[in-house]
Amino acid sequence: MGKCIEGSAMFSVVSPLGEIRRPRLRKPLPRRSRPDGGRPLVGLLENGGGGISLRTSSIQQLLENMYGADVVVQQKKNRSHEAGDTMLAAFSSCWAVICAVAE
Amino acid sequence: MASLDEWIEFSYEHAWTDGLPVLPPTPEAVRRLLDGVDLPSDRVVGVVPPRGGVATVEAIAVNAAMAGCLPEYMPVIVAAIEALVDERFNLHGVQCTAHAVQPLVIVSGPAVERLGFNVGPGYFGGGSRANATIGRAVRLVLWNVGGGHTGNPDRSSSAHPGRYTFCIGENLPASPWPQPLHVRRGQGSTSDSAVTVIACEAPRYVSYGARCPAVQNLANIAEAMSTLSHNNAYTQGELLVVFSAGVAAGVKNDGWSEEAVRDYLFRSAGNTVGRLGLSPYFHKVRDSILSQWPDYIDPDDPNCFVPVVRHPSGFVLTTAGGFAGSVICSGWGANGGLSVTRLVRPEVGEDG
Repeated sequence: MGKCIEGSAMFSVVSPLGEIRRPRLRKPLPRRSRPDGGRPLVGLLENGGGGISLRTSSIQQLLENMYGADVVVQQKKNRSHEAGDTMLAAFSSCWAVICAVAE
Repeated sequence: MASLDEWIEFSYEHAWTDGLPVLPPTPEAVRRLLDGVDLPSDRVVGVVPPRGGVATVEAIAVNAAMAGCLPEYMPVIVAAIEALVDERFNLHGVQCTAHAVQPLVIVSGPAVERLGFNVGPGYFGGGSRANATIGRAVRLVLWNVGGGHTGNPDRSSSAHPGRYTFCIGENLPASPWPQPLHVRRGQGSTSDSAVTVIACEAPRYVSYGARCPAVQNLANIAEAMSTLSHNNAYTQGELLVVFSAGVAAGVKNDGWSEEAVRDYLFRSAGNTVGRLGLSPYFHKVRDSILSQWPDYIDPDDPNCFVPVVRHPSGFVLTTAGGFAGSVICSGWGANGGLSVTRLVRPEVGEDG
């Protein structure tokens, strides 16, 4: 029987969540990533149209929950220099940047 | 827990429910449900995305207890989860997409009558513990084990009410054809029960005519499918048709085989390339759409017909309901949520 939440008097209940199965990493994320020794910082660039939120939200959750990363999301809203500078600044301390593109 | 009230607040605080109250999954309630299926409690049925939660038989039983299921429902729920985690279904995408599709569970075979499914009037809208709580249990597994929480990571723009519960049974006695859905899909026999899952939009009622040739009602169903407003218009995929008892009787009386119905719908339900060009969605993702079209579509011919499914087998055909209108449920196009069928293990104590 799974983990029970003990009750004070009447009844206990069993957690409905189930254990998380973590995928095997082909290559582990590096421990060094942040000067403060915190979790690896990964950039995620939304680059595209319809359906992209699916990919960013899924990839973000995967990185956060499965790989213990902190995630910075930036949207490619236009092609201006200012937007590019903002993006670069946000991604400058990331270990890697993932570009999530719409099909 | 000191009281039922305390449990209800606890379940909301821990996000163990999607908004509707749930029953407390006490160890005793979970054990009763585990007794309903002849599988070890630690058997892994599947890993449910996007959270990656492991759906053991026990985890499924816990969620079934919260839904208010009976032990004899467990084999159906386990089969449904097995079908949902099949790679063909792309559950990760279905759980997270901005689209509105939700997984529908269709039960066929003897379990429909044995478990008391409502396959008559109002079958999509309640009136039966089996429809309501089996569908609810599946939803809670997707919510809790799969972590498909509203907003993040589930980005559905609207979703639809089927996200609370979405399960129907096939009314075989009213069907135009003698074999249940799973047998027509090449699995098991008429003595078996099965579940078929498909991700689809909310049911759309299709008006019908009484005492008219079946082809007129089939034409109306095809007309309802021939819209620019669903993904099937662009990337095809699959589409569900639930014939009402009345329309099914006409199809049977007029001698339509299943193959003939499929061929008719395939030739009748769709749009021309030129008409698709009226849609802003088509222009938005045109290159992606064209890359998915089969060779029989000429994208440069405005008169070329684009069926709503890639092949006549893309229509999932079943029967339920009263005498009046049939129902269509559009799919997610070619993105996934494609139908998967799994046989249901015999109930504990059932000859099988």
